[in-house]
Amino acid sequence: MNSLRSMLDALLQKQISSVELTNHYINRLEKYAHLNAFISIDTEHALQQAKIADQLIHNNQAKALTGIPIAHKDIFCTKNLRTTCGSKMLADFQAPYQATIVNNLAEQGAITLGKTNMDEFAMGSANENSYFGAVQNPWDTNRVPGGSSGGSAAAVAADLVAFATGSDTGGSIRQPAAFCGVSGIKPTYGLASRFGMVAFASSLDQAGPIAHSAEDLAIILQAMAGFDANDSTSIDQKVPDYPNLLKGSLKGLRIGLPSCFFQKEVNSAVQKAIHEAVKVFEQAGAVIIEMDLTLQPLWVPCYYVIACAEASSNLSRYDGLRFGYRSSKASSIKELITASRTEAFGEEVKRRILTGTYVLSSGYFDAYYLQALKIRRQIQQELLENLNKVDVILGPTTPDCAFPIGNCPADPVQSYLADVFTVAANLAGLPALSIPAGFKEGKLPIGMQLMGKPFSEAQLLNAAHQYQQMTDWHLARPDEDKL
Amino acid sequence: MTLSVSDLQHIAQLAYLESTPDKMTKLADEVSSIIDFVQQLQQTDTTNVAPLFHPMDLHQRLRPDVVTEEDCLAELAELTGFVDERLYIVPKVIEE
Repeated sequence: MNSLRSMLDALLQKQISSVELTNHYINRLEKYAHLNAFISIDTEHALQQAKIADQLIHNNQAKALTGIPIAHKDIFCTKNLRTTCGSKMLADFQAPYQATIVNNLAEQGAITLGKTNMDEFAMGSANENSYFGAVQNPWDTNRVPGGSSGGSAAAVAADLVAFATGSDTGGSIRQPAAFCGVSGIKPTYGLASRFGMVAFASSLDQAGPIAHSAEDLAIILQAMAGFDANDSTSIDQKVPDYPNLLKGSLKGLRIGLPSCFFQKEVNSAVQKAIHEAVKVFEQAGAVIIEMDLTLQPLWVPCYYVIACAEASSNLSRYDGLRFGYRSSKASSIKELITASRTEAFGEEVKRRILTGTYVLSSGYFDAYYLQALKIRRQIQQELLENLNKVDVILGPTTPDCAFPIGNCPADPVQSYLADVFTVAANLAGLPALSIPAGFKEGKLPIGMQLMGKPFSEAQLLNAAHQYQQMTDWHLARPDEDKL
Repeated sequence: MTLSVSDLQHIAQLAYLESTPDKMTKLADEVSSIIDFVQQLQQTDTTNVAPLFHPMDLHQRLRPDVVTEEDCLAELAELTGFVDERLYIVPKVIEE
């Protein structure tokens, strides 16, 4: 069963039961536990849910995802499992409510098998900043899976679950999807609810799915998305029927190719793979239009000012009192807060809180934070103007493929540059997806990013789906003997 | 280096974080490197450009001022070991 659709069909036609499918994944979870893709697993509850799912299927009451075992990134609050956000701060945090997207997927019958590993508070591009340890990339277990949704991408790539959820603040769904040879979409800001998703940078954070194909993403996104009164930034509009919109021809589709996506810093194998993918689109009738995005050099600096500023504000809630880790070494309120935060936050989180505090502090606010917000508007305008001339903007998801574990650059700025092509979609609130487009040296997956206008998910998913009808990169799986 | 160790100490105090002096030097170095990197934003002309706080330029949605949540103290109390007679217990850290 190579796709979610075929899995759903097999369940409905009773070729396999949900209990069998759940046991199949539990066996794989145990066999490949060394990948460290999971922080928490709940097999007992999952098997109970699977029994209920089989009954529903038997009674012809199945919904869109009934009986499908999945995982949630450990940033989404769940009632049956703790929500750690990859941090010592929340290592024992049990949420009293569930994230809306968790409820939406459960409502459609998906079964939660566990919670996936991630960079602490979603800050990182390698999953090496997790309190629960690094995750191995299933394509090469000596390499990182990307981040911050590294556990979700690795779990999907190694077929430990049918699909997984992720969150994307600057590329945290798309970059690990690219590194692990799977597909992932960051929807338009406001399409999927942020309620119950631990906040990192609230004006940039979006939830989305990670799966094997664009068709899978369409099925999942339809179940995840939708208006939520509990999220004040949720957009109140009808969710399109994404799976049924995967049928338009690519003839006449205008694809923009920004020259900045093909600079010398981008690995040559990655460039070659993307050019090959462009040829596939051209052969299917798409029109290629070259373009310049002159503000691209400002994307990453603008992103890091805003993301760190919002993070320093959001993470001020961790005071050792209301919830989370509490230090035992304190004799005053100030000491308690300071000791709790100092003992429980990891290095990268501290760096970003300090950077954010600096850019928001008196005397620096206008020069850094306000200036970044003005440039954010310019970046959004440039992207929207270009998206009036083309339907999608195409390029590599990342400048290079997965790098070895433990090889993160000592200079934090160097590791931030891994996000160079992904952060723009978050700054501008645009939808963007990453799909597999080849391999470097025959074994390391290469990701291709498609970015579109606000609420153009159906068009992006269709373009990706048509590409996957003509190629088979998304069908490739890691060598099980080397896992 | 943009940030001196004493600058960083001030920022750390504002952020309720602390560090040993040896680690402070390394941290000041790293945060300086980030600040130096983002400094390039200041060369861009943004005259007459309004800041974009939010990608969709949304306005705050309002709802009627009525109670929507029932008393869920019992459920919350079960999740924490720090409740006594409907009161949430915090450590005694308030100076006399």
